[in-house]
Amino acid sequence: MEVKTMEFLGIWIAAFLTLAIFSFLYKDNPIYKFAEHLFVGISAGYVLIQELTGTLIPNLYHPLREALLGVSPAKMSRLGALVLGVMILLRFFKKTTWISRWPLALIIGTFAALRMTGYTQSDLIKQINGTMVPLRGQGLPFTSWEGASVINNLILIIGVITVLIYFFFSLEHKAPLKQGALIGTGFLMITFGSSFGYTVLGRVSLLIGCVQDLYIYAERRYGYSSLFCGVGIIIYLVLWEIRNRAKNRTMPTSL
Amino acid sequence: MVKDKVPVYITIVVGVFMILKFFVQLDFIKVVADELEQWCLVVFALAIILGVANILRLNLRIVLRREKDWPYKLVVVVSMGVMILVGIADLAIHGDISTGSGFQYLFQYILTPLSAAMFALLAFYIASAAFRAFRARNIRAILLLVSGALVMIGRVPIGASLSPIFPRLSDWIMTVPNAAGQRGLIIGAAMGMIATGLRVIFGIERPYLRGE
Amino acid sequence: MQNVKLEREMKSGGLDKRWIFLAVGALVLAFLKLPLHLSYAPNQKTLGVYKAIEGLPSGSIVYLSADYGPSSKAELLPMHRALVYHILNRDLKIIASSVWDSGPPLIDMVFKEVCEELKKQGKEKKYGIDYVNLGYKSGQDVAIAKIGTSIPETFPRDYLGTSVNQIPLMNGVINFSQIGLLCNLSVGSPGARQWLQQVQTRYKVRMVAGVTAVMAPDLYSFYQSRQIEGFLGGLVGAAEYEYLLKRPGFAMSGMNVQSLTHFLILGFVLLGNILFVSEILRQRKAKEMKSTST
Repeated sequence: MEVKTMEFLGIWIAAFLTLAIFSFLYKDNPIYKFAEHLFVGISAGYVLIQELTGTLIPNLYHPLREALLGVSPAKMSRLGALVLGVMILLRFFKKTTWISRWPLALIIGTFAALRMTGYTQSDLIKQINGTMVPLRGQGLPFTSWEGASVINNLILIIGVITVLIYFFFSLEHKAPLKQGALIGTGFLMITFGSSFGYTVLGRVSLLIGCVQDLYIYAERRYGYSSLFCGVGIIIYLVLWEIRNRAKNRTMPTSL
Repeated sequence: MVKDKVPVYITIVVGVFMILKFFVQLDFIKVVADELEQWCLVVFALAIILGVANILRLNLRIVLRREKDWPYKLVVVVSMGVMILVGIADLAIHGDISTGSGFQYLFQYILTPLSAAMFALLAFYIASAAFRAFRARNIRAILLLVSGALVMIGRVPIGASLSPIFPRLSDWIMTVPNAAGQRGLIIGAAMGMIATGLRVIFGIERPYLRGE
Repeated sequence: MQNVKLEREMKSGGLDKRWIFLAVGALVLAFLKLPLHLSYAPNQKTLGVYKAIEGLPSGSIVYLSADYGPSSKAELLPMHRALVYHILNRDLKIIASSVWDSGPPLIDMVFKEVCEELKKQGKEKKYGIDYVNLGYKSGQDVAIAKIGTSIPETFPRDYLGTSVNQIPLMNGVINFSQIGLLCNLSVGSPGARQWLQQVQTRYKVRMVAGVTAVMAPDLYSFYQSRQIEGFLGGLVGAAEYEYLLKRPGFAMSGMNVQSLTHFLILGFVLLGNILFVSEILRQRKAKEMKSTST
């Protein structure tokens, strides 16, 4: 399959940068540091352009332009956004930092209101609703591996209540609260254990994805880029390590 | 007054307005709340750009003063500049930064592998942590490790190949006790968020007045 | 300096962590292409996603929010591809957007790949008619809440800069009343939780999700309370979905080595605990001998 020159160059760059990051597993070294700082710079530049094209141009520039041209006069209200936007940029300078408090107050007020209502509806009411499950009748089986059953529903209710008891600090954890909190701890340990299991799954998947890419980069059509970059980085690390050890030997030892 | 009190009043008014939007069906409130949301999007975008400008300032200062690691900070400044220039050039010439543009090229062959590899390192560290730190010191730790192990075995296809009990057990752990524990945490966090939200809206907590 | 090094070695059981790194790396490199013919049994959560899309009438619109970046593309890109393929293959429409800045290029890339694949199968999909990429919007929760209120007001232009009034697919689409299903792919915040809070619960929208394995345990509570109809958790979820679609991809090919690596890590946990227990027994024995000698 024919590969274009720019794609070929891009694959070599990608292979080199991937392996440069992996070189950190040996030790923090100049190649890793270069890749890390490149990542910071490219990310920052990327974010700026995306904010420009994603929000500022469609939601600020175009509406104001339409308002000024008389196409949609109502959009002149977007001038308020421009003013507040300039005010937040003034945070850049020490003397004018206080001006940014107004737009920050707008953001924080909006976030607080939206989060409060969102959490109440979704995380509080709906979750409490979901805990009100039947313990008998309605054709409910006694046990099941998946789905509702008498045992599963009972464990769910006990689990939710005891975990909430564990986090209730307004009263001292004496019996019966103490026993409730103890059971709650057990449920929390199972929760954290499951999260640990899934975290391992997730992290390993990220590595697998990277290695899959390296296998693709090592194909003949891309000039075995992963292999050459890998060997090159290993040679560099060996030489760098030899140089460092030589430098340490020649340095005077302290008394 | 202007420096301290006005921001508090802004938070109260905006907060109350945004809550009213969901409960009061009045056109005036809807129109004002919708416009406030638009303002928020724009201010948020400019706040992020402020962060980028700050990164540039910090790194440029180190480069110009030839402080420690200045060559690496030069890499930051140059790469940031290149990415911004390429993006602006694509917008000016092609009108967008989608597939086929130089901006997309830099995203695909520089940002993507760097980002992916950075997070792939975590797999190694979790293996190292598994060896060094996960000790079954008491009953609780044993419970944590056993449930984690069962989920790890049961969730992958090889677990089902070993025995059909593993995926069933793993699924049951996730669907019943895990869901119960998670729900307790979710409800608790929700109550905390409601309390914090009310404190912010009514001006008791003033995070925007900090950090100057 | 030497005492500090010795203490650290003792705590780690005398094993340099780089040997552990080497073991993990070697296993993944060596066994990635191993042809283990494993069986799959998609769980109810994966089936929930599949059935939600299968059950949509032809011509329905799916709103896909791809809220992730290259850092988690290993887990989410395979399920993104599988979902987009499934939706477009069923002649449904997709309106895609992102509240993560690195989302739009990935959306673009997946659309391009899937459309090329469908073209080879004789199914032509056109931008603006069958699918559209609305791009990125900053603002996190505020952006999501705004999308719930009005999609064209939040995205007056798409990722290519075209006004949404000129896009046929966006004709008549104002909010989620015109959307058949909300599909969210996410890695953190803003993500599935925020979509649940700001859109799903408020407007009673049908929702499915694809999340990284780290986020998956959270969603079990929301699945149980029927706030989401199903979700895909991590690479395993993506592999199960590829299996359901009979379309093996990167996810299924990664499952072999995923399984083996899990056993390796469990082996490390076991080894660490064996060394820990033997160290405790050794210290106890030393204490006993000391007390009997005195």
